Amino acid sequence: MIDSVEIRPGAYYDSVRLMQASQALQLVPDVEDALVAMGTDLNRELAMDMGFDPGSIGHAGPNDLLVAIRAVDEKAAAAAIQVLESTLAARTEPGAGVFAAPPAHVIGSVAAGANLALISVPGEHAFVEAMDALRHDLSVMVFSDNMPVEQEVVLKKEAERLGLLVMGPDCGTAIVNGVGLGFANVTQPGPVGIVGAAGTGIQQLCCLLDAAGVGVRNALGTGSRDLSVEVGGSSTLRGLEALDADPSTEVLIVVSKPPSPEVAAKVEAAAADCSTPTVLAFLGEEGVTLEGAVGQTLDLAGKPPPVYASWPAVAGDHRPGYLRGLFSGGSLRSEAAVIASGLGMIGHDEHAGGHTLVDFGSDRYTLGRAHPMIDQRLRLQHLEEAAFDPAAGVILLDVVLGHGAHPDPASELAPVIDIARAEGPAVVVSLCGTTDDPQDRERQARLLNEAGASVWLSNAAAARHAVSLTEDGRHE
Amino acid sequence: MAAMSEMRHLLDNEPVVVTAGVEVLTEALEAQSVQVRRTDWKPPPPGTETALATLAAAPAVAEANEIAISRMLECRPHLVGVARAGEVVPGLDDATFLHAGPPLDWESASGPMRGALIGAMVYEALAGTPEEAAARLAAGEIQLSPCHHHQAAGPMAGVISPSMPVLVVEDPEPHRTAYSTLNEGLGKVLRYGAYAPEVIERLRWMERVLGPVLDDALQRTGPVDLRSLIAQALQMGDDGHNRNRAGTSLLLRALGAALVDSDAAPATDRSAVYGFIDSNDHFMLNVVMAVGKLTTDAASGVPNSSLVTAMARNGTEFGIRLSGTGDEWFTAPAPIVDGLFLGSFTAADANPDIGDSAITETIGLGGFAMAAAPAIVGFVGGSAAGAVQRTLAMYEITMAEHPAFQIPILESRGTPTGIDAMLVVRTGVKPQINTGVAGKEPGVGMVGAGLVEAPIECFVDAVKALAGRTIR
Amino acid sequence: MRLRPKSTNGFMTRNVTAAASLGISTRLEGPPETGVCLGESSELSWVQVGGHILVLSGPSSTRLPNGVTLSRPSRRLPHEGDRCVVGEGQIDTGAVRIKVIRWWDSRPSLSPVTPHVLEATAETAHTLLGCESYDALAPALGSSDPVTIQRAMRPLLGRGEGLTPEGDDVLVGVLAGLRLLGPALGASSAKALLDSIAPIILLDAPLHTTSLSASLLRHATAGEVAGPVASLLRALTGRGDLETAVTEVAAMGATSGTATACGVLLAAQSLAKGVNV
Repeated sequence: MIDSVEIRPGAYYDSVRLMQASQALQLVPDVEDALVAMGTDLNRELAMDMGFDPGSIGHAGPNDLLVAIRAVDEKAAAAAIQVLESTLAARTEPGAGVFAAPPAHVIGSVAAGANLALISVPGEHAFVEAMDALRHDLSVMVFSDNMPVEQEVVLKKEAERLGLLVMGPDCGTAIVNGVGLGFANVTQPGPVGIVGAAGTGIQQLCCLLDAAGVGVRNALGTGSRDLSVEVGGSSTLRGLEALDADPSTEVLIVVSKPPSPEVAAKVEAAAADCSTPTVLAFLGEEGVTLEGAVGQTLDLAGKPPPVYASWPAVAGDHRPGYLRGLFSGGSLRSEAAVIASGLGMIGHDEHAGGHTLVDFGSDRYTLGRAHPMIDQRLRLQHLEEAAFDPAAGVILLDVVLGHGAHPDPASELAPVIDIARAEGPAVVVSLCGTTDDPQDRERQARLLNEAGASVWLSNAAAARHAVSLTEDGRHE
Repeated sequence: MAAMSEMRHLLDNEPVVVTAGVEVLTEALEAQSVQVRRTDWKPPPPGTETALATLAAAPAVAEANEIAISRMLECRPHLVGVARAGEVVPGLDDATFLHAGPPLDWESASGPMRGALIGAMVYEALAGTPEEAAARLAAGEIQLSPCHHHQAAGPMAGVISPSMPVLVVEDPEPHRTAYSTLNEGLGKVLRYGAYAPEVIERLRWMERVLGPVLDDALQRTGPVDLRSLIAQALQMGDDGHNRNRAGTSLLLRALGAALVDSDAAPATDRSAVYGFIDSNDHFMLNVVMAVGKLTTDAASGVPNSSLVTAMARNGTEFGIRLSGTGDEWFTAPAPIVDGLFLGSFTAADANPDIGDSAITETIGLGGFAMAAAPAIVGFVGGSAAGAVQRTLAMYEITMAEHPAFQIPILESRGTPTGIDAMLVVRTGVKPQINTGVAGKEPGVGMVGAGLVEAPIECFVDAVKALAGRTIR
Repeated sequence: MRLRPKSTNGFMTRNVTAAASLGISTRLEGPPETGVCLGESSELSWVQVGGHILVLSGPSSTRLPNGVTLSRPSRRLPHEGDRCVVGEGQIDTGAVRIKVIRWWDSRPSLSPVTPHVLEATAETAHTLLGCESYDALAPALGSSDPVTIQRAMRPLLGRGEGLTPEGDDVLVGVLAGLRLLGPALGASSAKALLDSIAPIILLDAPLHTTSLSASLLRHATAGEVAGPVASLLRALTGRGDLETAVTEVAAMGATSGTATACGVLLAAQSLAKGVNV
């Protein structure tokens, strides 16, 4: 065992670096103990307490560096000195990341310069984040569902107070200045503005208007409960007011499920007050369809209604039986239900028997599972079941394209449609998309069509076709 | 109508979107060449949803926080004198000792805390030997009370007994006072639980010479503006907690002439006072702590406010208080400091975290101002970049940027000031504290220094309690 | 609603999505046509196809009326001399295929404004920006005489340095200002004036300035401008904060934003005075 004590006069290092050096030395193999410190009274005493020779320590002053090493042999002591030199000389390169901000955890820390927050955290946490966004001057889209309605009411009151907009909760679709948020189709900004509580309803309107060469600049989703008595249409009314004041908006559409009568009256009054012509489409009321709302809108915009694209199936027989609708979009299902009402009773779930139109995007099917517009597995399974169900005569499907949706839905659906056609039922597809959607609408239509489905751009047209096939089957 | 202009802002401009939650939605925006600011959202601890929602919904909370933080930022501390603790500290009678952190009794006190209490007994001549002192303390002859309940704060064990001299820090308008002991220096000192004869002797010298000489000097200079002094110290590389070299020097510079030009004490005493302060880089720490106490007291007692007004450790427990929950403490076991150790000490020698000095972090100094003192980050083997990162992280959990305390390397951005307990719970970002480490055996003294994070449990409990008493 | 945690990319890696201005949608959405990259800077490349110039840039760049903004940083931009096939909503540079999946409108819709308000906002913005007089342009615009105005405008074509010479930027501002503020004021004369000036300037432009600059002049005549200029125009009519709009437009390019804004203000002031009289 050897003790090595060295005094380096006038060598100043800050205490932190010296503590690092002491610690580094203690990790050197065969070094028993080490102290690297300025020669203050305290440190000299510490060295002596550690058993180093007071004679060699005594003359160190507070501006001298004291290096005391106890090692097994000379070699270990020399190694320790080498480690000491490199530790004292070490400089951290000031990398490019010196000023890089750490990841932000809360909306408030990155809100400056932004004007919108998109919140899709689990529903029980969404309110806190949304309130934070409002208090930082951001309007909010709450994609999350399962927010308690009393929180929604508070959120929207706060937005009214601050002059901001809340889209949602449970808002799946919005377009702000041509930018698609959540599930949205690619449409050129144009003269139409939409306020809607119905996600795929907004998407269908956008697609049909796009087919007519009319763009949608803003589609403000309001959330599925906005027109309930509790919420009182807060976001719908604010959205209407803002779009009415927007000089680039020439026609307005309000789309939703039928609201409660008192809220409906409020919305109707607000629409009547707008200086911009406004179409109201309360989907589910008798005779109200998305296609019809687009027709009225085009009329107001002075555009002729187009013939919507379709890709008819090669004529072929299908077995007689019930209509079975497998939807991913609630509004598309609602529109189909309006059109199919002549068939009689229409069931809501797959166990109902008879004619059924099922919305696989509703809560009971999405619990613990991705939305069917992204993950088609559940729907594929039911499609296959319907194919082999002798009671099913006509299968009606929606396929929704656009931002956020499955990148290539047809390639998954086509093989199962092929099986279905071989088994007997007819397959009708409502294809909700625009030519600019990232999925390549033409290719999607072709794949579905080649598998034997008749494909329609207008959901209403698809439903009418499906109903007529069902009726044909019945007559046979 | 302000309302309309905001909505126009949304409809007239291309959206710039902050996202929280599902990644695929953020990617869909980025694919559209939209400017996106992501947040790395993480769920808060289970069971806090309702409390957080209640606080977020209540306008009273936001209003209360504005009031509380502005009181914190507007505090104007001045060092006005040095006095005998028993004469000025409210509630400190001859049978009471003050200590750091949340309330505790002799039974639960840690080694250094017991050591310091024993030392104070000997110092006050209430016991002839350490053994006798321990017996009397165990018998409950002395009332123990947190410094925080007496307008005071003390480093490490934080023991204040009636005869000790204390710094008197005041805000003239509205008039408030706070106290802290005088720093004894490093090595074997009472605050680290040492009670050897030289420790007691030093305390007696501080009572007899240091206190009166300093008070005399302060009466000549008049009040020393500590807000400005600390602001300058940050510019010179202090963090106000573990690095106080600049602050100590500035204070000594302010007092120098008055120390020289005095006949209140012999020249040898005055010289010794100068030398004592000069040899102790941490002399300023206790001054900053009194500033911290004055500042947090100013912000205390605002109903509904989630502003943290105390973070303090007694060596056994870590405790916090909120402005809106009054005198209630929310505690968790004190954590072990992650740091570097002196000489041959190791983590096994370390006592759990101790001291009121986290009052510096509570007002945006110390670990929060680490970017001003990059050398401090070396305590955890980090880098200068790491110091900046750590300060930047604290902006996420604070309410404001301090108008006077600025960090040069961040383009003189104000230090992150005023911890919001709600934000701590929401983000999981814990307040980080630069601190010294006491040996766990009484009498050992300082064994290292390093970084420690405040335990999240305190904040969870505090937020729940605040939500329970918040008016909707 | 629930989503799975990670998206799958529907395109092969060499595909890049982009946003583009409606001002070039007819060319982008038309049948495929081959063009060539005429030049590049560190942040953008410009491609000539048919009679159009398309400016390709990275995600954080200014929204130009002839712009295509890629969703990924600019190292995928074409280089000078590269051939590009443009059409059916895509640009194929050989190295990457750029698909437009979002459109923005470069032509701001302005709310009606009174001459009094416009004069006041233009005056404020003028002071904030510290605009030059640009020789005889202001008095010429005041004269409302097409020949005098053309005579004052032509020397500015191509004057200055860079991709968009400062003189051109001023003209962009004047043309866009006349096109958009005229209707907002209800000044029908502005359209007639513009219709008589613009064709001559546009005819001259390719001879005197860069192809990029000439393209921006053409878009300005149609009322299509860069994002910050649109914000300024809106703010002049009372929508949005004027000071913010001025700060943002001044931050565009080295001098481009300020020069364009000053051109807009010249148009605004002459129109406001003209209506007042």
